[in-house]
Amino acid sequence: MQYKIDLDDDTSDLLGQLSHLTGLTPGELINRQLNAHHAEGYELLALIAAHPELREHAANLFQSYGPEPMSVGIKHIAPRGYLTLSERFEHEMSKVMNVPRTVS
Amino acid sequence: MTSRSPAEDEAQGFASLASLLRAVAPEKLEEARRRVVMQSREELLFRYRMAHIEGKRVIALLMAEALVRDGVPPFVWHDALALDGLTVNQRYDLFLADVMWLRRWYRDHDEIVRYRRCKIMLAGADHSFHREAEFAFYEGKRPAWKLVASLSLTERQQWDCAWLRSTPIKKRAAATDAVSDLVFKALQDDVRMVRRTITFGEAEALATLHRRHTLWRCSRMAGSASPTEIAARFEQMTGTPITRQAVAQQLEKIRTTLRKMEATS
Repeated sequence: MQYKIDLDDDTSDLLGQLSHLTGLTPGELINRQLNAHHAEGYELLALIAAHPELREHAANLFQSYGPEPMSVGIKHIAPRGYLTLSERFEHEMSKVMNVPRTVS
Repeated sequence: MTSRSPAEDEAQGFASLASLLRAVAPEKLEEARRRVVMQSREELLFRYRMAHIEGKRVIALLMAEALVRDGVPPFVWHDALALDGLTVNQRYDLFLADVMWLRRWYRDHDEIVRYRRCKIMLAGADHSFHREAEFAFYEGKRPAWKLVASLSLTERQQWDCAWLRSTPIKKRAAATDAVSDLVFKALQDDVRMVRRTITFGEAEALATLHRRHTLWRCSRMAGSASPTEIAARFEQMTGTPITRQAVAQQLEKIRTTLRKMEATS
């Protein structure tokens, strides 16, 4: 998929220099940078999927979060007891790892 | 998002494992990988099977990574798991595990593969590997035999795999399974006749029985009667090394038992 995006001067300059340094295209560089933040995006989408009523809060959070991590912001707006994807993963992992092995 | 039950899976269709992986924070994944590498082979197999059955796809993948690295081929993981009636996502995960195995243990295989995208899947960087694997799998619409052909897999490679198998290999595996209980019984009867001593008690007799049965299964998978090849298979299946001399000796005993079984049936 192709997007036409406007970059500010600093970002454009940085991308140009990194592109020159690495041989990667600006598109590839942007993909790499965004890949590192996929989990945060998915966390937000998972929250909206579970609580559609928080859509507006989630949008505000995305626009204003930082320097604290997205997960902290999600905890502020989510109902008590809501588990983020990472927390659910940790729970599942612990469950699998803590079951004693049955010897067949 | 990290896991769905197999029933939910079936209802919701194909879900990209790469997307599920990306949904977990990288530091959490790394922490989980550190826990997984501490596990023994048997622990890994047990936890892999549990995660696979329960649809915990990301966790199963982490276990799979460790099993591949430890040299345990996918067919061993699925030795105790049914392979029929799988959901599209379970089939994809099996396919991906087979490809992971091929990438790690047949590093030059991409050189004989004709198709560019298959070559990238076998030898490309990690991110392109997931992309190409999803393309090849085509949401479950491409059958295993077609992928086996596209990847020009040898018989040995297909025996290593759990899902990437052509019809002839599947039929041979099914034929082995069909007579497995009968052979086990014959071997059991034979071992029962061996006189027990201080050094050969019930525990040793049971170990001998399982060793012979496993060696028989390995011999059915090996392309030749080579004890070296059968010894390698045995180590893959059990994690225990065995010399080719011991294999040759045991195979002779197994053949004698099976000849007796055929004569009496």
